[in-house]
Amino acid sequence: MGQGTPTSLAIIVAEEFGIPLEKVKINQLEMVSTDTNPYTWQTVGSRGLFSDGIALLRAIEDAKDQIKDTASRVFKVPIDDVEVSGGYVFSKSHPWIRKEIKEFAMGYTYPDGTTVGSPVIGRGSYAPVLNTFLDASGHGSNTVFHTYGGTGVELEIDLLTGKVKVLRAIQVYDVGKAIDPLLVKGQMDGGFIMGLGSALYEELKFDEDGRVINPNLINYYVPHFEDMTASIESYIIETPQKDGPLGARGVGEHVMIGVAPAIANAILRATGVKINQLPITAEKLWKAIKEQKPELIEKAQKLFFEEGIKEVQQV
Amino acid sequence: MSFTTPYFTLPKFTYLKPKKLEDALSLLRQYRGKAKIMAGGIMLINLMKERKISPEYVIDIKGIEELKKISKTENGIKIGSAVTAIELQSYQIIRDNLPALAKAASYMGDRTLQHTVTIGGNISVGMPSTDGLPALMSMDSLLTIKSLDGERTIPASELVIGFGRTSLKDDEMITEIVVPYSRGFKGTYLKLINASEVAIATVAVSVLLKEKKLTVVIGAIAPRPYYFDHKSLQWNWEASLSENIKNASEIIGSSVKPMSDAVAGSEYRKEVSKVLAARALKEVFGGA
Repeated sequence: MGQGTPTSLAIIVAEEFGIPLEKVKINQLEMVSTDTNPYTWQTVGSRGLFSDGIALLRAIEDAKDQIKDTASRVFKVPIDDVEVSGGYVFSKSHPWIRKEIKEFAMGYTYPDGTTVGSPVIGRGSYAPVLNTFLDASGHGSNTVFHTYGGTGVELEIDLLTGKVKVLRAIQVYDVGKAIDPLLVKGQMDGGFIMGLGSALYEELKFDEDGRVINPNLINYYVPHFEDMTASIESYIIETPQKDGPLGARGVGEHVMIGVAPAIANAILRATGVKINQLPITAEKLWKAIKEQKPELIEKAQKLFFEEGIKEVQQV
Repeated sequence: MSFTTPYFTLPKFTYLKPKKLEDALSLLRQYRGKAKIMAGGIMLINLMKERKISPEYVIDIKGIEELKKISKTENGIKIGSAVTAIELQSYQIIRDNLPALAKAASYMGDRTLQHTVTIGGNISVGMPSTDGLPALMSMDSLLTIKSLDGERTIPASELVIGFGRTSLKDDEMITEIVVPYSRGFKGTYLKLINASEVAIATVAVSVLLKEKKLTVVIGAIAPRPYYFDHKSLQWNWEASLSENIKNASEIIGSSVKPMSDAVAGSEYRKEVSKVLAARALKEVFGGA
């Protein structure tokens, strides 16, 4: 839903059959329709492309098997000798015996109208296996893949108000295989902004009775355009995930995890002030600076009044 | 979840859109106490969604042309109450003569909402977070208020009487804002927001150099804005700028009694007021 998964799925289909991308149609509305689709757990774990991709590869395998069955009868070769790739169905031992995939799509029709086989509908599904709960010591395998990466930021702190502005960010993530690199980078940029929101602004507040007192976007602040980091550089590393679709692993939410620690560490490095609670609001940081490094505020005030003001004729 | 749930839906109301000011005033009188004026609707819609108010009638004044005018006369600059934040930033008359207001308008909601936000709506809700009121107060602006009975004029500083409360009667509306100076001000407006659109503190500074008139208004930290002028700030036009600014900032810090709420604490608001005031004064006097 919106992360670009359908595009990546289309790329997988095009590559596996060796056909042009524009020949692949993914019905995005149908894909997310709860009227026609079975239940498939929650939208969690950045698992969209991973799960759908494996199911899709299995469906492609199933479709190819059906094509091979028909083709082996048309080509009069053993089924093991038939291969589907590069847009063609062909005999491995006699590669000049070949036909375009489209000739088998609805079953094969001889020039005289007689047919072999039936319309091809590939089916595939995926459910994670071998996952466990974590034991008391936190060990176990509760996820099917781990996406690694890192985030670095350069930021500016207004020492007199505690307001932080992130000027530059660099993030590097090992996504296994970037099926569509531009989409992956888009996910990484978006993940950073989401992380920026939780690092600096977003906080649900409650009254004594547990009612949310900031239930709208006026007082639950998410990053605005003017809060955006001017320069976000996103880099991709590709170490294939052996059980992932074409080696890919998820990269939606992972990117936001590094943002808050990177910002808190940058603040620590710049000022020596430790903050261990999110969001790092201006007031919270100002209080922390006042408690931990009051001399920084004094210095900033001195700079403002004694060196920062150029004397001019006032009237 | 039912579709009448607060925060997602509006309560039922009748929408009225008069084309003439007299019609709007008659409707206000006819449905007295049951009607609310809507201009941009920014605050109104939110208050209605949260069921803090549920007017039976909403009178949209955006169709009334005479409320959308800006003009410059001998007696000052007149701004219709339905002039939008975008217009305040783009009209040369405002940018050249009332810079604090033009700058304040650039903080009224985000860029998209600024096409809808109006100066009248921004000040007449009476919330501390208004950007327009400190800017208008810094230029000693007057508000023209009309009802079917006639017209009265009050200083902008007398509009808000408490948190979310104004001196407007329920059949009255602000129709025009008058800044009673024909000469241009120098000025600026600064605002600090962080984890909420609602400001931690705002400051408007306006100066008429020739007249040796200086005003600093601190908003958002209390139900009503704090007003300081060169006298209360003990501004010495002969002294050094940094001394004046330092002194003014201290006076502001020791005079204001900010509130604590979900947006920010009192002590922090006081500090931010001092810092913003010092920065705004520095900007206006060009002491960068």
